Amino acid sequence: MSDTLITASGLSKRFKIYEKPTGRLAEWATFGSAVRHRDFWALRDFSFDVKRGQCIGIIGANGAGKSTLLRILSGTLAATSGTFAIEGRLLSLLELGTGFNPNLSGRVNVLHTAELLGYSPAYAAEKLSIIETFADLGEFFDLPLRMYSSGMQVRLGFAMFASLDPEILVVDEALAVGDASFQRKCFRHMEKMTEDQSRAVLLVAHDMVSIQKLCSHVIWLDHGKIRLQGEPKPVVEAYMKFMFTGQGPEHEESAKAQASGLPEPDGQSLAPSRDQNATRNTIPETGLLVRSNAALLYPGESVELVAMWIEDHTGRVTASAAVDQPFSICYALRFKQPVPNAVFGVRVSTIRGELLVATNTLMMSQPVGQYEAGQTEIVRWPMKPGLSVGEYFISCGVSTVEHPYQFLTREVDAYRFAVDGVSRSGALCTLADMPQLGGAST
Amino acid sequence: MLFSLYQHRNFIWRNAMHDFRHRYAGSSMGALWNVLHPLAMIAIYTLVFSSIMTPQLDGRTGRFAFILYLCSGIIPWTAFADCVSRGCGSLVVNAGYLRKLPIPEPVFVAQEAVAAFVTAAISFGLLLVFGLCVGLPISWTWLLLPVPLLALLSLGFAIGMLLSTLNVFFRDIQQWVGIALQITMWTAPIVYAAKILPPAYQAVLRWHPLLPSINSVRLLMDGNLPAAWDWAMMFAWPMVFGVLALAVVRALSDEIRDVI
Repeated sequence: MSDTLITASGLSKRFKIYEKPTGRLAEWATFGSAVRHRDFWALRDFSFDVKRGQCIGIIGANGAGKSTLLRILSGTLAATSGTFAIEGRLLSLLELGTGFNPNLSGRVNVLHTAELLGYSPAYAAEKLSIIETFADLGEFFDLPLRMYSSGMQVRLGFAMFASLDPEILVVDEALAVGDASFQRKCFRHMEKMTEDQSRAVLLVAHDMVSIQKLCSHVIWLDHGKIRLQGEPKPVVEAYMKFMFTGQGPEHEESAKAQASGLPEPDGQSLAPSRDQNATRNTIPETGLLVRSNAALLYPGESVELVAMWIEDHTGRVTASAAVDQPFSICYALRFKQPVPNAVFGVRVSTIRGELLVATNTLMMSQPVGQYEAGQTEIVRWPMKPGLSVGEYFISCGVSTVEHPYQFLTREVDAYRFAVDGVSRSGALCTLADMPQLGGAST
Repeated sequence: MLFSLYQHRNFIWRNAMHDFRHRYAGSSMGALWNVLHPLAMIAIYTLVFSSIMTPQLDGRTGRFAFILYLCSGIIPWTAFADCVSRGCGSLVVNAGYLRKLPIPEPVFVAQEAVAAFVTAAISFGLLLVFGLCVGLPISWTWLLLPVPLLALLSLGFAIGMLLSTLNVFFRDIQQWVGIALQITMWTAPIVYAAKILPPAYQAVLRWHPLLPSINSVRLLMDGNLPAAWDWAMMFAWPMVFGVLALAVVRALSDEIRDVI
């Protein structure tokens, strides 16, 4: 029994992109001498080994090549170059559904798909009751699949693929559709698969919390190449930082290298005794948040937002806030026209759009400011610790005392930041401190 | 390719049967439409050719002779046309499966061919019963009827495989197939008798890919054996298209799933 389940070396995938469908015809007619396509490399020179007992997480933005990689490994896409070998069986729960027939019942679909995947009908029949219990669909198990919700299809798919007991299970974002308790069940199953060192799991997810919880090794794919890989925590942190601030791990590495190459600073420059006002009134050079692609922008002529960042409780710029520490949301504005009586506002919401904070300087009884053209103002919004671990959106706006809801400039859901750390709550916020038990008494 | 078809034989058979039963799902007469469609077509052709245009059949007379002649042409033709037109679209239609499961592409074309063959077999059963009722003499040559039908369907499968692969890249092909099938049908004596054609054209028709099989079906029904030329052509054409299809599928198979 070999220790390595997957060996892949130099896997690359090129898609040919044709501007017009006739372009392909022109290429065929000239035996390829007239090139009418451009190449798109979805995956470049990807190599890795998967050993028994490993749970490998693959993260990256949409279009980074995650699904391409999984499709190559599951045999539904041919690699342009490179080779891979799989020991044992690989089952892959790609996207939704996995090619079930909508007119057949869950039970029949399980039997058919298992046969299609090369399992003997007897083996599938033997596993049927386990699958039925795992999927927990009740009477729906015997109803046609077209009556299933997307969550139910995922339950059936995962229950089936997990129960068929493959050496390697590939799960591609599909679980996001299931409800929380089923997700928990799936995660427990994946943990069990890797626990006894006999199987492996490949997991693609956008949920960084579960990636960190489940995986023993994380690979960050970016534009088809491995950007960083290793222990889950540092890779996920580097990825999050890149997503929110646009700074890659290379930046940090080179910054570190630079720092180590320099003579020790005289101590004073790093100490907090350094002139506070100087740092408080300048826009930090690195660590700024990048505008999210969900942003709704309503720019105005008199004032513009020039930077947005997060500061931790010591005033240091950070990519993500710690769950148990206060932090500040900060932004800088530049006035292009004089604005008397300016009011600044901020809003923090969850990814699902639940509003957590919505306030402005007027509501907080702050003095209004008079601004001349060319002036810059930095506004800090101190936040209490206790937001749940996860991602949040920030919106901001500037208005005047006279018309607090007529914005001079407004950016809705324009920036994202993360709250990081050990999740101690399943809801929007956590307790102020650890729960206290009085001790059992009779 | 043949091995992969054998491996997936259960899947092919099951899907073909399912398709056969549920093609008309939701209609009140359901699977009966599989037979009603060809029956309606035969009724129309009979009306047009026997009362409006007088058919000229060599050596056969009687009220039912033309119906038998017509049916023995239309049934295999319909099977072939179904096989090609549905086969041509089958990869695009089953894109969902192809994207998610490592099933070989020919399986989906084969499934259409099998469904077409089953329909043809049932129709032939009915036709022979009808023949017996109107006095067609029973003959041992009827046992050979599946041979030209199978030859026709291998041709349909090969062409379907070729077109379905190309159709993935150029979706217009599916539209052209309908037109091409009409042309093929009317250039061959399927619903009319060969006798009405000029002799020069009849000589060219010897090379028509469909005619050897359809001629053979008719001969076997009447208790005669087809000529050597018919036997040879019946198998030569599927071979030619089979090799062609194999070459095209080999060259393009890696790219099919990229674009589908």
